[in-house]
Amino acid sequence: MPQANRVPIVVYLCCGLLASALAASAGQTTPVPLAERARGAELVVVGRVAGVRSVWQVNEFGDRLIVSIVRVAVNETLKGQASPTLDVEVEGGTIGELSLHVSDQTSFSPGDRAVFYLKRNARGALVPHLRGQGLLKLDASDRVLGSGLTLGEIRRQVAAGN
Amino acid sequence: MAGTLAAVTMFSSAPIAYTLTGPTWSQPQTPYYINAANLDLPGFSTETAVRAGADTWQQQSAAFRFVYTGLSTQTTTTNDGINLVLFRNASSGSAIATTYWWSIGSRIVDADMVFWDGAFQFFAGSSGCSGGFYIEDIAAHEFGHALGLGHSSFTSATMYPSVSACNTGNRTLDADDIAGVRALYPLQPLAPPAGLRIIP
Repeated sequence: MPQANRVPIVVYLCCGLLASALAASAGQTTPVPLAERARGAELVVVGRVAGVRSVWQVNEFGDRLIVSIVRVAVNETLKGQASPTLDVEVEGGTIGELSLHVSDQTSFSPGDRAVFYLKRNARGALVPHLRGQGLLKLDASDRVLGSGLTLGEIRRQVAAGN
Repeated sequence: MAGTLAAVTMFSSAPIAYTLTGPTWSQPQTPYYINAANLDLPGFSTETAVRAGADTWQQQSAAFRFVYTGLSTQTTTTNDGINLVLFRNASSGSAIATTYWWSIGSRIVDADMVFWDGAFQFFAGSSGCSGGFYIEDIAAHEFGHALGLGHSSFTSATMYPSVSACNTGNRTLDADDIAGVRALYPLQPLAPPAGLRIIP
């Protein structure tokens, strides 16, 4: 293996919690460190999903896709200024019997709690920064699902990225 | 994904980490097309590499297979019944490639893959890569999604969600990948030859 490729593996071993969180919801990706993720996001919030509705949208490339509009009740703003509720557009969802699954996105149901790293797209809608890597679902003890990463550590990383 | 089903590990002799997203293809095979136009490689090399990635799964999913049907000039994806692999001169966060698959109830009805060619350099074969990714390995992962697999937490699995540059490990399935695809598409027992009586 070339030397250049060893770096990320060493990083994973040293920072297992972060690496597993980076990998938790993404498609096949190159993981972006949490602090860097926060630096690139316009808005970072912790919130609970209040509702989800799916619509048809044609994206900038001409793809006709189902997109879920996820209404988030904001509990905490880690970066930027957020209103008490936000609508976040996430590719994938269900209309009638037809569902679209997207490998590098996360799907949400009402009641889900998550950290949302957000940016605005060309239409001004809020979308996840870095797609699935901008969406970290939390469990009841405020750990990112599938990892040991805590909300406290995310707060520290967001602060470090600002 | 919310609909991801975690594999049961308690009663298995070997630990498993694959996940299933729910729906599967109901027919034994389905065609797919490639739009091989990209920034990095000649079309023939690209076509060969994508096909090799798809074929990674063929030996292990005897109950279902993707059948390469030909080149396409289509540049968009939707639920149109055309399973398409294309390269897009754009980036998408840190995603190397994205698979979109459509289902009605428990049946997958369409699957498309987009390689984000504006963000990453792609290579074919197994040598010469520098700072990019081999198409065959990325395609192997994405075709796993198109079969109905989610991500595995085993770092050695083709379905592990992240990959380092120039990695060639995805093109060889891990035991966990094989267990996952066989959970989706069980190997059928061989039928006895016609006229042969089975005596219990």
